[in-house]
Amino acid sequence: MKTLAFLGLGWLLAILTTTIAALVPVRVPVPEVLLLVTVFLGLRARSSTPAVVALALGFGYLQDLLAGAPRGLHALALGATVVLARSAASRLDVSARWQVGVVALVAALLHGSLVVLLSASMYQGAAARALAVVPGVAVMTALASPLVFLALGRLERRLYPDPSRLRMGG
Amino acid sequence: MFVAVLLAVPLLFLRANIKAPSELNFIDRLVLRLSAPVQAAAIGIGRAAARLGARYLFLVHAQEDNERLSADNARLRVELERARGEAGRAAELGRLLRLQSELPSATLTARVIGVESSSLFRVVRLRIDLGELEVRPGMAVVAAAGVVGRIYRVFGPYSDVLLAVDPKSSIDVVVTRTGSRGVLKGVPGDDRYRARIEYLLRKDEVKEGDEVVASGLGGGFPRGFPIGTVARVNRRDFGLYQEVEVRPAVDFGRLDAVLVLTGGAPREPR
Repeated sequence: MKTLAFLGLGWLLAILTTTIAALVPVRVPVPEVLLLVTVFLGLRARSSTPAVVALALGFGYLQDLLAGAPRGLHALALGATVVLARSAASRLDVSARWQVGVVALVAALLHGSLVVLLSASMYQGAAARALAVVPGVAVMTALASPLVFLALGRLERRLYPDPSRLRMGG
Repeated sequence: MFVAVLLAVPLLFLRANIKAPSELNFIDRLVLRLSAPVQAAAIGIGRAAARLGARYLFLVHAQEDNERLSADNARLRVELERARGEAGRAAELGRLLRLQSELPSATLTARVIGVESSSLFRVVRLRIDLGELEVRPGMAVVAAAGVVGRIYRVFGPYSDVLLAVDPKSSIDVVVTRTGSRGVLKGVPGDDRYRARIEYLLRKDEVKEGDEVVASGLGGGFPRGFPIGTVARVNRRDFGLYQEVEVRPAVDFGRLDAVLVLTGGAPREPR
């Protein structure tokens, strides 16, 4: 149920991203909101690793479908990102806003480069130009990250209450 | 171990799909059919909110200058802008209707209900409200100003249009002034709508500002239909071909309605 809630959120966010792209008359870098959700799940979610990897793959599948990309492209990139975030979770302190921003920036740079690399065969030799988009998207993602992490933190506390904070009744 | 198996799944999917990403299975169609109305509603709400926001901001600004007269002035300006917008849309629809009667093929009018885009995977697509009963992949899509693209995939009552500026699009074109032929392809990895002509011989004297039109070959687009103008020419000292960048005639960011060329004899507009 909780996994479905996050998957539904991811679906809405993916649609929201395409809506922003449609409403803005000029093409501007749009934050990778689903990447932020994935990084959040990897760093902070109390679910098991297979569960967060499965969620990330679900987000990636939705993004592939809505972007018209080959199925598996964003799924693989987000899957790799969540595994990386999970393995770094115990070593990284990501509590302050600037720390969230820096982690989001690095994650967006790695994720963007991976997507371009994996789809390089479709760019017919122009993959280097596609790479030029990555820094702009990464900066926008980093700027949006504190707000997204704040919202996701609240959502997670509702979905997964911390047992140590629950008071005993009676 | 389980995580590695999970990650292998998208890798296998990617290998299988990278050649033909437009093919959809049952689940893909279901997700897209569920998403399309939500996307259309979100865009509708967004546009309405933007209009309201613009009006509110304008009025607040006017009150700072002069309470009553400025507010009246602002209201009239908003009305005027709205009327101009409506007139613009009506003019665009009028142009589409005229175009519909001039085209040699049967056409259907479609409303643009959304765009698909990924910042990183540089595909640029439109979603329209014509589906399986009306259109099929490969059909040409045009606007009054020129070529838009082709139907890429169809799901339920909706379909996606692969724009002429998408890297996967290829359209046979002619430079009107010189008669030179080439293949128009989208340029990926940029924040502008751009395309380039491939296989244009270096000896052809193409210049900036030259008009580029559809050759009529390869099916779909009527011969001579506008595509854009040459924006930049890079004639290198070696190689058979030159690099020519094209600025599209259509402003893809502002399309409200398009025509789909369904083939066959012309018929009454929908």
